[in-house]
Amino acid sequence: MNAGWATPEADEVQVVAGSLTDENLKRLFFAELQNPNWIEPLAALGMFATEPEPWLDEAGRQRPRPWPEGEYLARMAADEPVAVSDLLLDHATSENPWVQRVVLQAALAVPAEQAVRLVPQIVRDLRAGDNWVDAGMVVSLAEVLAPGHPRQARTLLAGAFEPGAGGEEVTVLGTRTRVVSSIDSFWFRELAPRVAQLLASLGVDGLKSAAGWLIRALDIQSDGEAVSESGHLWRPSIAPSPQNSGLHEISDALVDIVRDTASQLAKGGQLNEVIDFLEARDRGILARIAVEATAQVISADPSPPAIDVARTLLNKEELLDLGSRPEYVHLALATIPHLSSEDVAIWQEIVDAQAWQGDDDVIRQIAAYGQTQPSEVSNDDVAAIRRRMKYRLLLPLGPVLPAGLTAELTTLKTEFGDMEHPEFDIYMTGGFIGPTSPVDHDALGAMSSAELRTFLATWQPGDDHHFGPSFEGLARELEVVAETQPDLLAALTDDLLSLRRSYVRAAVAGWTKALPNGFQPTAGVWELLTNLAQLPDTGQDISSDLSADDPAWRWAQRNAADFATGYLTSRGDQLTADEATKLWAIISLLTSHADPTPQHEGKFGGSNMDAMTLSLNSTRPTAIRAAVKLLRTIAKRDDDDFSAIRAHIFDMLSEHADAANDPSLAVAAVIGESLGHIWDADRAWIEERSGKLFAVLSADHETRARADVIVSVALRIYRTGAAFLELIRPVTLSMMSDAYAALEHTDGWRGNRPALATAASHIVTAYVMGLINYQDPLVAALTSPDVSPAVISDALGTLGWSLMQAGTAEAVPPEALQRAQQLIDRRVTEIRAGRASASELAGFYWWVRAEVFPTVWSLPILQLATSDPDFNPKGMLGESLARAAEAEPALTIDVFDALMSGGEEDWKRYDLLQHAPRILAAALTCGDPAAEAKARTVLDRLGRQGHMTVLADVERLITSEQTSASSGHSVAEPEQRTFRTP
Amino acid sequence: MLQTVCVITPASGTGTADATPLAMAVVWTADRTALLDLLRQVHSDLGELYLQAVGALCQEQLSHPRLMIAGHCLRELFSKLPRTLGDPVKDRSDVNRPALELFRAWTGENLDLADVVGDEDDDSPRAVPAGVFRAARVVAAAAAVGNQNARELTAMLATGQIGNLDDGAVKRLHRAIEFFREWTHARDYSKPERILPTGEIVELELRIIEEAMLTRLGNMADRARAMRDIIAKANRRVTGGAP
Repeated sequence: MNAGWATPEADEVQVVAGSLTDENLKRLFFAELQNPNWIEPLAALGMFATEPEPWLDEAGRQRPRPWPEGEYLARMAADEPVAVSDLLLDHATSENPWVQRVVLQAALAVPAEQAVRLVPQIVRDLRAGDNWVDAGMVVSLAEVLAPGHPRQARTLLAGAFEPGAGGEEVTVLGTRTRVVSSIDSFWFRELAPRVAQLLASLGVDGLKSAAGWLIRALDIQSDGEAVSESGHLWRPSIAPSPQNSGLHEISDALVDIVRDTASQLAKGGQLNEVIDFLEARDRGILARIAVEATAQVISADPSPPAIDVARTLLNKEELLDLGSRPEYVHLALATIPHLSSEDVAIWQEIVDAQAWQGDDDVIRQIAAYGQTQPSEVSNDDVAAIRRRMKYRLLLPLGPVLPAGLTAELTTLKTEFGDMEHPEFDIYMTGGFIGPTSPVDHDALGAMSSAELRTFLATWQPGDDHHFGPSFEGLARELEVVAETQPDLLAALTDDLLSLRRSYVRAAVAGWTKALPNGFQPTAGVWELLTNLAQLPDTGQDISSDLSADDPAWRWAQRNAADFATGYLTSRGDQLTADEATKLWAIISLLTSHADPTPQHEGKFGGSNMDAMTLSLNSTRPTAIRAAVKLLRTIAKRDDDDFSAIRAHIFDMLSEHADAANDPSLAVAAVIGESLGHIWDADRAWIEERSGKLFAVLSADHETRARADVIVSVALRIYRTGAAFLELIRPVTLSMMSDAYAALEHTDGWRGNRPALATAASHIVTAYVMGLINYQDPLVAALTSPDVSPAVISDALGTLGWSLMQAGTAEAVPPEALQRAQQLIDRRVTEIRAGRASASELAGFYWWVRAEVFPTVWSLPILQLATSDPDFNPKGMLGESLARAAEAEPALTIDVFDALMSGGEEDWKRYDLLQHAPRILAAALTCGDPAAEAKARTVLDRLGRQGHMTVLADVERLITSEQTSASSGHSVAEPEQRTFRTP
Repeated sequence: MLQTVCVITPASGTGTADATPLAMAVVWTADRTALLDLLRQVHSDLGELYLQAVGALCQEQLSHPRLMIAGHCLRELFSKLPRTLGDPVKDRSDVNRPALELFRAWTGENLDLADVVGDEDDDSPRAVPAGVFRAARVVAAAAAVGNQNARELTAMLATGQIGNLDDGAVKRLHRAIEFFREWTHARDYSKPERILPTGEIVELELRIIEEAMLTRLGNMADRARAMRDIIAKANRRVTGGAP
């Protein structure tokens, strides 16, 4: 018994047992019990004998429950190590990860002699491989055990870090067996330095463990076949290097562990034992590790015994192979300066003898690879390859070479030139490379127009089609020049069209960007644009190398249409008739462009790109959009020239509005986008065509799809107003019908809300703005049984969201607020009378969250909304309800009760749970017996659902309110938290 | 309001022979009053059973008949409460019918029902006819089912579900319930020399049951508050005060 703590009475403990039958009270009790003297009497009652039974999730899978009794034991382990260890040994076969975690926590807290008793079950749990383990804790425990219990420490580490065979995985080089371990590969890598240090503390036995794990990993990697190769392809360098890709996560980490363990042991005076062990394994990668470890020792302390070992390694011909080269270079750089001249001469003889390069047959095969027969390789070729191989060896060793080899290195450098990263067999570089230009825009901009013309006319890309400079790269730089120095490109207009299409596209795009900066197109530019618009393009899809020249003119022509739009924007009302004529000359030609063809629209439109998006990425719709902008600009201008252009534009629109002439939905999207502007310019034009433009109820799919696109885009583009309402009234009435709901519809511009919901929002907004009254046919249609309650609820919810965006009630016109309330009141009356569904109020939570209406009005409506079983406040109400509770605690608790009794998962009610203490405390202290009773009912339910922290927070809040009321201080809110056991 | 007047008499001494009345430790406390209210809210009969049980124990002296009354009332309470709360309770396991069959098989084989002189000292295995053996096994199986059902009923009483019957708290509650069940009759053939328990023992067993029922029926906010009080007391240092 712990003398510092009170010893409980026997009766005291047994009476508590009556309350611990409840899981939530049990969790509370064991979470806060700190007295270690309760262990014995509780154990006598069998309180620690059982584990929580698993629960079944929605998919029928067994899920473990936490073990609060065990967590108490883990906390008490330091005070009562023997008792706790005894109790935990009874759970040696537990499969509950929470229990296993407790055992590990306790093992870390008790003295080592108790912890070793728990090691077997920890290792068993680790080998079960459920990845639950806190790997850092395992290593910490091994660190505790290592000084007095090295065998158990090794056993524990083996349980966590010994690799095993996982499933097959597909890589770029084919399938391979994954190397796995009991812990996550991320933590394997993270903990590797600590593991190496720990293994080093265990002596050569530690190195044997690590090397054994590495060999096991390599055997798994090679599908069970023992391999002796150096592993340089997947591990180019034993030392840390950017060349090590780390793709073999666990094997790579094991190389680090073996290297660092070997290095630490070697530096600690066991170099000979380390090298003997590593070389005896007959594994190339271990031999490389031996070389690297020796290099590190020599670098740290070039003692004579270490030099002896290093010299032996240095003279081994097999280590001169490229597969070991990075380590060999480290060793040579560290060792040669400490060798005697005789030893250096012996090493030089080995290098000069060139036996390490292989015999001539090998060299001939290297020389002939992929080109000719080995027998056809000449002796001179063989000699050249040998010289190159020697050069590659000597180049990184330059600083430590003896005089003779230094001179030879100079000669070889002259013969073969510079060589980057000679110590690596293969050196990888990375980074994204896009289209590149032979010269940048600064260099282009520094050229005269003649030089630029010549350069553009003569430059050709080289052979490197993947990463070398390309036409596209040059075009991108050219666009920058056209933007920043438009006149330089404008001087080339006579020749530009005869150069490349990509250059024309770039020039026009750059000029368009230059317009806001005051660029005045020259006559040459106007002429080029007009000529460009006339160039033929069939619109057919053409596949092409992205870095090559544009395969057709359409991209440059689309830029010409964009230029026209940009020009109209920059000129505005100042546009002259002459300019309008020039623009129309360009645009009019492009409005009949073939792009997009029906084939192109079938391929890219519809399922993968909506009509509106396609219209922005194709030529004809872009040109029609520019034409409508021209129409808007000149709509009120009196000049005859303007009048003639207006007539031309309407003629053009008439042609494209007829599906027989232009069935493109992308064009229909532009008409929908332009509908309001056309209505402003000529209502009759639309009225004459309304039968087809608005045929959303047509039985013909294509006719309906075209009308759907026009209407859906128009509904999204335009804000609610009297004129627009007049324009869309007929089609909106058509949409608010069961006939519309029964048909499939095409959305012209995909967004979060379908066209019908947008139309409903126009009606609701029009009502709130006072444009229509409640008796208006539009409102009657919206609220008729023909329209789904979901459509109304979406519109009402969107209105509530808009009100919330306003921020405060003062930011909204009082009449609008009043009419919004009236609208809701009317719907509430209908719902209460049973003539409408409560689901119409599904979005009402926005209205409450907006906090622009009195809570005494909004809360009863919210309560009505909650009567719909599908009502979901989506985490939007907690804070607003908490504020509402201050003024209307009784109403708020009613709503809160309704929201919380829906049986939703906790994550869906998280926001409400966060604010539950304020709401409940307000109800409990308001003096209204009914509210208090409701609050107590809710508290009971929350407690039984496991939200014990909410209960504690409510008490704390009430206590602090009472304290502050008596002291006059402000009340601090409880920390916002809520946890629950599943 | 309760009209029962209780005399609080400190209990003392160990168990005594049945004939000697014992000092009582059971008194009406705020918790008991609260539990009575809660039971009455569930059903008036349940409240009355509890009132009578505590009333029988809340006397100056404990006697065997008073413990029998309390035992009977509590047994009924344990049986009815889960059903009244709508818990899925299994039917009782009937041991009487298998016992009757065993009697028939026994007598059908002309086996002796009377004690044989000297038989109580002979522990050697006995051979019985197969029919008798099978009938005896049915009795044992019915008793085993009855025992399991009783434990499940305890878990149901405490938690509303069968749950983990081996849980330490549930097992302790079951022992408390069995304590009162065992005293429902004047004589227990398996314990012919029973000694009336002390008042403290009766009080302890009753409190364990009451704590479980309060937890099941009471408001969780109150129970959490009570638990925090228990924890605060449990966490006291020898020198007093908070840890």
